[in-house]
Amino acid sequence: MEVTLLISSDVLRGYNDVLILCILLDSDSYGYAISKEIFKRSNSVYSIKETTLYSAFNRLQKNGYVSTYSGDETQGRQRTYLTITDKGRKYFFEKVTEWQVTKELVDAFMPKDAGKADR
Amino acid sequence: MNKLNEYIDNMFAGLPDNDDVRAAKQTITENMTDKFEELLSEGKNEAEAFGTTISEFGSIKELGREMGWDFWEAKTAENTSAQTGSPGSTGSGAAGGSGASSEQTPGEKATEAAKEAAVIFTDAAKETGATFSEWWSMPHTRSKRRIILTLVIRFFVIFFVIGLLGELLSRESGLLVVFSALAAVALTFYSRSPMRLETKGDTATPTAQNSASAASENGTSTSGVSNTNDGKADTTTGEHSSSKG
Repeated sequence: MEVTLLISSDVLRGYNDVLILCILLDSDSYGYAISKEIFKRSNSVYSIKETTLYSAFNRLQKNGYVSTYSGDETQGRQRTYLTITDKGRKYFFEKVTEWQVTKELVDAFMPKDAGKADR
Repeated sequence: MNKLNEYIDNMFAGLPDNDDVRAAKQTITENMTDKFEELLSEGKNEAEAFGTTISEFGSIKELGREMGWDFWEAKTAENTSAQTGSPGSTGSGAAGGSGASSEQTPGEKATEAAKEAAVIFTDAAKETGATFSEWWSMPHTRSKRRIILTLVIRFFVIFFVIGLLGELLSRESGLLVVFSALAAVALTFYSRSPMRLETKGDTATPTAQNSASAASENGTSTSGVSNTNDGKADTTTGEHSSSKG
């Protein structure tokens, strides 16, 4: 059975940046590849919108967490690649710690079988 | 491909032409083109690929708000694109996206359309110099009410100033009142149409803010599919999400 959910914007909003940084930890990447990777790593559960992705890129760049460069031309187009900065790595691991604390806190208020709750 | 570019052009049509907007448009175009071409290479036909691709666009209003662009103009563009093929109209099915959607009653749609038309007209009037009667026939938005109030206040201030000056120079009260009123009317509307007032920060709030106010009177936009709404104003992202159970 496939159950459709809508994720609250407030829950996910602060973590789009973290998802992107996590992908960039492995290797530099570009827009569509990052979008695909998010979809894949979420087990096809989360498909990030183009406008949301661009907002996140812009925010990460403004905060100095990523920098960009022009990659090799593929399929007639020159892609802009993102690379994570040292500041971005530091921020990512801070957010990882924050998430652990947040998760434990919220879990404490959830029913034990919350994940299996029948909608 | 042209259809995709047209769609993106429409989405960005109402936004200011600056480096930020151009950069966003270019990046989003690149990403959507990648997706579109990949879907074609997977054997999807052009219509399916187009529908799926645009269903992943998101909300230009939300992007505009995030980037500090003109919110109202972005909303206008969103509505314009809805007429040519919005994610809500064609994309959700092709994307296999979630089924949740927001519905508007015909009355709400008509009201929203009328208000949108009013502000579109105001923007156009600012450029073309529409006549007062054309402007007057527009539906009453908050922007319009503010302009009318500004004109009334201006009229009375001018009327009393001229009247006071005339009182010092003449004792002909009847003639003075008529003259003051005529002069006040002339000076109130002197050399500018009401629409022009919208560009004057000292007499009326800028068009963008007025328009945003008018738009906010409508509540949040509803596209007919959850995928297009990921705005802060809404409680759900509309990002496609499903879990298998």
